[in-house]
Amino acid sequence: MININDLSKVYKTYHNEVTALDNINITIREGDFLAVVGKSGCGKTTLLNILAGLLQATSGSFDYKGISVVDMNKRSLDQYRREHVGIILQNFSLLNDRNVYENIELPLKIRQYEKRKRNDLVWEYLEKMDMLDKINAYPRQLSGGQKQRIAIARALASAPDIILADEPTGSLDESNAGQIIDILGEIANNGKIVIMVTHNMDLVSKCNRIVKLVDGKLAERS
Amino acid sequence: MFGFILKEIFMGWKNNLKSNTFMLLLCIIGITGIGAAITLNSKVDEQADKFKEKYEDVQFYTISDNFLGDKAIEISDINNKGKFAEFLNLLNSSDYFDYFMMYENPVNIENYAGKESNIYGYEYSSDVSDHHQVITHKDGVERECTGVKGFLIGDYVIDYFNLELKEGKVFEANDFVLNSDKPISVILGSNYADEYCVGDKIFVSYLFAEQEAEIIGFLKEGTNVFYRDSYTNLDRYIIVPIFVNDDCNGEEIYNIPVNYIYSVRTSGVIATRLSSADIKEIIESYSKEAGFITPYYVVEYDPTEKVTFGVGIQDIQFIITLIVILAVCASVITLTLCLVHRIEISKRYYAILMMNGCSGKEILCILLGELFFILLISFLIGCIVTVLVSGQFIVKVMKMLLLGSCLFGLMPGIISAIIFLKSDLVRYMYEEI
Repeated sequence: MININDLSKVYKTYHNEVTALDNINITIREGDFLAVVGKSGCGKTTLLNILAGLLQATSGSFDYKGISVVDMNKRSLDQYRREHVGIILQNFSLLNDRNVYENIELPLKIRQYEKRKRNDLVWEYLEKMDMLDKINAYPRQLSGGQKQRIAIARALASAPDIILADEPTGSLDESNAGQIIDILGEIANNGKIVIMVTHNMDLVSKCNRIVKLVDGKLAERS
Repeated sequence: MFGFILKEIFMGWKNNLKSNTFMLLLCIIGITGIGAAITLNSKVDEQADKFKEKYEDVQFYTISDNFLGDKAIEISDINNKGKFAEFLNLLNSSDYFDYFMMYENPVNIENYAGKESNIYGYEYSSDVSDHHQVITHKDGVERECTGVKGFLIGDYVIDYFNLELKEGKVFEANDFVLNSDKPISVILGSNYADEYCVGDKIFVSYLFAEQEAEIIGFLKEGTNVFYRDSYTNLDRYIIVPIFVNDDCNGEEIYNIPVNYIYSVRTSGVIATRLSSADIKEIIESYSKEAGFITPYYVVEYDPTEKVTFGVGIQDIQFIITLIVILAVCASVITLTLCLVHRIEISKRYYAILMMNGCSGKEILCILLGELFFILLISFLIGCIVTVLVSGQFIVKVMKMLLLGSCLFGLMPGIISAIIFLKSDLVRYMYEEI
């Protein structure tokens, strides 16, 4: 479970300050497929980056399983992200000089899984994503939908508890977008926390929770 | 994690082969240059120590006259022969120093069969053909001769400088008296040993004589004498005597006017424990006592060996060190720029690693790991080149080279680490390709 209490993030530049998040309070449980919606610049990505341990909040707290993440030092944050978080982005963020197998294997190597276990997990998730025939293909040889499936496989391979998806269907057509949302929904149904940022209101119907951000503040929740 | 970092380093090497090869070449140039400078400096120190050890606190000075321009009358006036003789007498009998007649001058050898590197002026010109010429000698015979490096010496030089022979015998007293009925005795440096033998007869002509000479010995390799401002290695020289007699059978024996011969005899080397100021004062007083208007002066010494290029080793040391410093600075700056550029183009890659669980420290290890391997390979190649050039494995030099390699990589490593740590990798996660 994730507890967010009075979370704020202020970006300070030379000339001014920008409040990206302003006293956000949310509780997210296992099995939640949460959509965070709002216009561009409302703080959605900032929230995701804080939840991923990539950004430090300015104030407030954010606990995961009772452990405060905001109080963690850099090393602990890296550990938290490695053990609990999988990230899916709009631009897929695949390594273009490595094939599908090597891209999915990457987080497993970072986590020092044994070679045999890595191999088993890569094959398992490729099968789940129905991408076994593309195992040796390179990203440039894949369609947008296929790339996003690989990105999802990579995010899931290390069995994180939290999946953070920032506009995962942003580069996809309607058909592929629907498939990706279905996959994310299934992941949530399997007991993971899935938090998806989107500004496509057509997709949020598949989610079981929605929060709306307006100028960094929580405007609505459902 | 070490294995993962290592694999990512090699993956990065493969993907950036051209730029890594360029950086490797830069490092090899820089580190090999450092190795060359360190080896040269250690050799210079070794030599300075060697001569200091051999001669303890003896100072060497070379005497030289200044009879040029309007002062040339001092040497051209035949009536001044007595002044030169008196000056020579004062030098030979001085209580303040030991004096040795020594003079460097080319010697012509007929039908020269030795190496080109022994030819006079070899270091200064790629074309030594000027030193091959047909000379018509006093006997009217035209001979094809080559001017080679020559060292004219008086007696005591061999004993004082402990010039050891690897073969043959040294000059005896009667070798310093010219006799037209017998060959001149000559000694050759070790660089002649492949082409000539003890007992060979050659025709030589130089300041003092033109006649047949017999090779009586070869010097050991690495033999030195002090001359002018530094020690001169004699391996590529022919050593000939400065004769003490002025005539032979009642006739003057020289190829040039007698005053110039005396000038040669009085342009030798002083060995003393006195300071240069004292010696200058003494030589000036001797010049006055002998009756010269323009006093002789002394050339001070440099405790290193004059190498085969005709310049002092310290000059070479300075030039090489300067070139190395410039090359190293240029290499370090270029390497830094290459690394900074590498970070810029790799930020997306680093961001993806970070988003998949890699810590900042691990990514920094990957970045600096590439630099480390480049420096390691450069260090090894630098060691090999240094050993090949110097001909020996000196532990001290290798240690200095290791330190040099570390310092070489220090600035690029620090700057690239700072730039990396200041980078906001998060926004590069979202970078579109």
